Amino acid sequence: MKQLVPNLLINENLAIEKLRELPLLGKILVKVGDKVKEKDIVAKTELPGDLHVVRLAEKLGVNAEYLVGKVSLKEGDDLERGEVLYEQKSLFGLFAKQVKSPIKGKIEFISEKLAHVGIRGVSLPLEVNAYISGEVVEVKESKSVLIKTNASIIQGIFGVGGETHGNIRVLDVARDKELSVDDIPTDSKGCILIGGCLPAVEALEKAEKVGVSALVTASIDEQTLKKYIKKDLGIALTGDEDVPFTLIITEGFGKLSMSKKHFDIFSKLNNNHASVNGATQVRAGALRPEVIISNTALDKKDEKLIKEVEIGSLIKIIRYPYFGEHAQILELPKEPQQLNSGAYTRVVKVKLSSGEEATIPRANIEM
Amino acid sequence: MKTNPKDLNTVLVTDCGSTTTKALLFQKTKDGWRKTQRGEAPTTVEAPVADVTVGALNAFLEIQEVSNRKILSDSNNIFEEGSEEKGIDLYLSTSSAGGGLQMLVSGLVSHMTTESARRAALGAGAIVLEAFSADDGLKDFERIEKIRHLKPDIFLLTGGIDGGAEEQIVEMAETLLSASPRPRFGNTLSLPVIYAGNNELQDEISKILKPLTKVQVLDNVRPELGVENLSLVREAIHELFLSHVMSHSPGYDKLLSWSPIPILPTPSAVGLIIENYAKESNQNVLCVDIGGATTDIFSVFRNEEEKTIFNRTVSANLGMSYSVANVLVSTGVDNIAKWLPYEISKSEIIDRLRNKMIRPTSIPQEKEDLWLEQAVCREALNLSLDHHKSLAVGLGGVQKKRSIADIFSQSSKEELVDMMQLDLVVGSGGVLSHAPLRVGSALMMMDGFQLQGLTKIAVDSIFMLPHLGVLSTVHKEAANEIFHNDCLINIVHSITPIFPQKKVKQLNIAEIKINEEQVGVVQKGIVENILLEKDKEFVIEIKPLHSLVDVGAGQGKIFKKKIISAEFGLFLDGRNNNFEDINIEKTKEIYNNLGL
Repeated sequence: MKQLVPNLLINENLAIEKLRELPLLGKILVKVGDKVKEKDIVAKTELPGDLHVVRLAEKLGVNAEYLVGKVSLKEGDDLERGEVLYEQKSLFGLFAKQVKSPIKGKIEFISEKLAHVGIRGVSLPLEVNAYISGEVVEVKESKSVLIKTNASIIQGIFGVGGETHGNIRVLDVARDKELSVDDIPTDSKGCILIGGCLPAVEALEKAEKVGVSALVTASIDEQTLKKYIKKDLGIALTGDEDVPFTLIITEGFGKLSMSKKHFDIFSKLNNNHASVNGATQVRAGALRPEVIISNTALDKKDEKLIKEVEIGSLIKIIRYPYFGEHAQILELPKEPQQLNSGAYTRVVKVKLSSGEEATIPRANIEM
Repeated sequence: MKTNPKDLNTVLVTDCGSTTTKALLFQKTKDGWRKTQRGEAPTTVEAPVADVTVGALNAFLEIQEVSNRKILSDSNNIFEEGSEEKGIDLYLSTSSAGGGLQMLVSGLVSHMTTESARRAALGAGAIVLEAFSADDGLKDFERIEKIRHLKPDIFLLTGGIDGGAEEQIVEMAETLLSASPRPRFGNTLSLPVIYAGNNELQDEISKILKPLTKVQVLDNVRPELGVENLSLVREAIHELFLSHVMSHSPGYDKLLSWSPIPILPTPSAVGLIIENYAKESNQNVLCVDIGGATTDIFSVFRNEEEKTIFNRTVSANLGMSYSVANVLVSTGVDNIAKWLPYEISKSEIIDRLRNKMIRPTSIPQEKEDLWLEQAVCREALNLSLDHHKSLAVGLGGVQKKRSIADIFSQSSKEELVDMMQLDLVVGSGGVLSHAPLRVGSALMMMDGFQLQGLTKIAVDSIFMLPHLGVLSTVHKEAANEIFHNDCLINIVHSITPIFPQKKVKQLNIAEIKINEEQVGVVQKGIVENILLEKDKEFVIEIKPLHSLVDVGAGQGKIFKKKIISAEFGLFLDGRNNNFEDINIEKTKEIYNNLGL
């Protein structure tokens, strides 16, 4: 008897692919077969500039109807900043009132009804980097690049902040040590610090001061998170926060120790260069934060986000009253059983690390 | 596929939700139309499968296995042709996968045209991500940032009565052009924009937005201040939902080809069945669907002219799993803690709810944890109902010409949701439909909605409302029969007298008679359960024992009504919806009295 359960990827030997997509059609700078490094630019485009609306009638103090047919510029005309859009002469041509373009750009529309002129500013360049080191395996012209690599990948449960890079530095602290200001090394600029749990606000402030790229720790409390991201987080949809460094937690909220599985793999990969992304989306097609060390693996192997458990499998419990505990599966009963809550659901019978046996809803376990 | 009701005997219906695709088989039996089988499977609209039909086929297979009825064909046709032993006559579907239909709307004045635009979008089953208006207090650049960030499926631009204001509406179109948002799906496609504002601006708006998209121009949603015209816009939204949103979602082209009837957005289908039932039974009905991410509220109330008014709202970030922490943020930890019958620290509540947010599919194992989720549910219901009440109002505005400044300051509106006149409340969604005890579901709705007077409380047995909604578009009678037989579970009638808390000091508040025999007394601050014989017709009489007590007929007046008794009889609620001094001991007492 087997059962499918969710699984955070923790694997040092995996073939992974990353799609690097342009938000608008643009130019792809690489071709299939190219080897790329994480900071290499693989695609670029130009974002349309802002639209400025010049209200001619209002600026001249006349009715819009007065200007109908009098504006000589037309849609599509290029303009320099300060170029005259309209000049109104008065008192037999002795005085002139001019309205000038506030920006360099192109006329997108002229509204005769209201005498508004819409000017689109100059485009802004946008570049997309490779994020991971690897090989380009697919190019969709003008749209995207697919990069493949053999890598170690470690997912966390929740993160804030976007993509970054740096060297992994495992802190010399216990897995359940609450991170204090003294635990953050002063010489960790650009590093991805790993370890401990429940960082103090002062520890995060010091990490910012020394310029770390990312911090991966077991857990956090709500108040600290709120101070760090400067807002209350209602929905786990993150990645574009304006934070000094990317922060990833591996277990959850409250006092929780980092799992041995996480700690061991990070220790093994200490000092390696890694790509990190805190973006989290806890919905269908869930996106979890990740640490990727490219090109470390020898063989390609697929791993699924949904794994099969069977009798003897080691699992983690993700809900009260055994939250954070690890256990071994003893039985996988087929029929639903009644929980203490009164609900009927399918369960697993497990042996906790303390030796105690317990019945757990199948929805409350993770590999 | 057959679509004539006379030819239908077996109908297969799916609801493709964000996480689960639920398939139900409806059949004409000797007892009339019934739900006969159910199958479900994870929705497969997202990578790696990225084809919604895979999940639907898995759900069909489950039905096929449990029913021994061959539904899927071995030939090129997807379904076996319907006969007595095998196949189906018709396949129908609703969908909210991929986050449903997401819209931005704009109008001139927030309480007038913007509100009409919002109602049009909500009634069509959309989530309104943001509603802009000339008086929303935002600067142009703030609107532009929001529009760019939110990536809607459709933009509905309205504003001004016919022949009315112009400048602010044109400026909103210019803002939309400035933002030039891309649609969520199909990044090379243009954003669908509907214009349904001042008819004199139709050409101007089309011209301004030409670089962005081809605008679909419709009649004004508010041609006059006192006239609202939503049906054309709703139809256009449904069409765009199919042509722009559904058809670009993975696998939907195939799914659309399986059915001769258009796929409906899930909330739109729920609205149909609820509106239909309320009208046919001549009742004021409130229905809630509380999901993991969002809470939908539907109401059907008769207004002062006895005209039936349907309203739907969706609170996009109030829910029981993905959005559970947003309920916490919105209401505060104290408001959640007050519903708990046991001691727990506030930091523990926060940690548990945050952990539910990041592991949304986990479920309560212990009663304490279940009660915590049920406490969150009460607050989510309360917040969602407040939101609903603010939109379910009569038309703001009067039929006389006013200046813009006058219109901005206008606020008086007729509230349509009158809880004292509510006949039936229907709960749907996991926390209500699947609560271990039905009485627990009823208490959540009684507390969360703060019911008043006499109200029947029911739940949707297995989340069947969307399926019945889309079925009702083809076979209304069948949908109604199944709604009564298999969908609606009547739990209890609640009786909540309302009175001035300080002025009514006595313990006994109201006397309850069933068929002229006294069965109980509502006592101040106490909640009690009185069991009645189930499914019997009774005459209930509620007599206020103080001249300031209102039980449904006005202060001090006796209220009488014929009822069909529900499974758990009556809840007598003497709390007067006053939860300020609620504490653990009082909550414990209520839980004990109701057998929780």
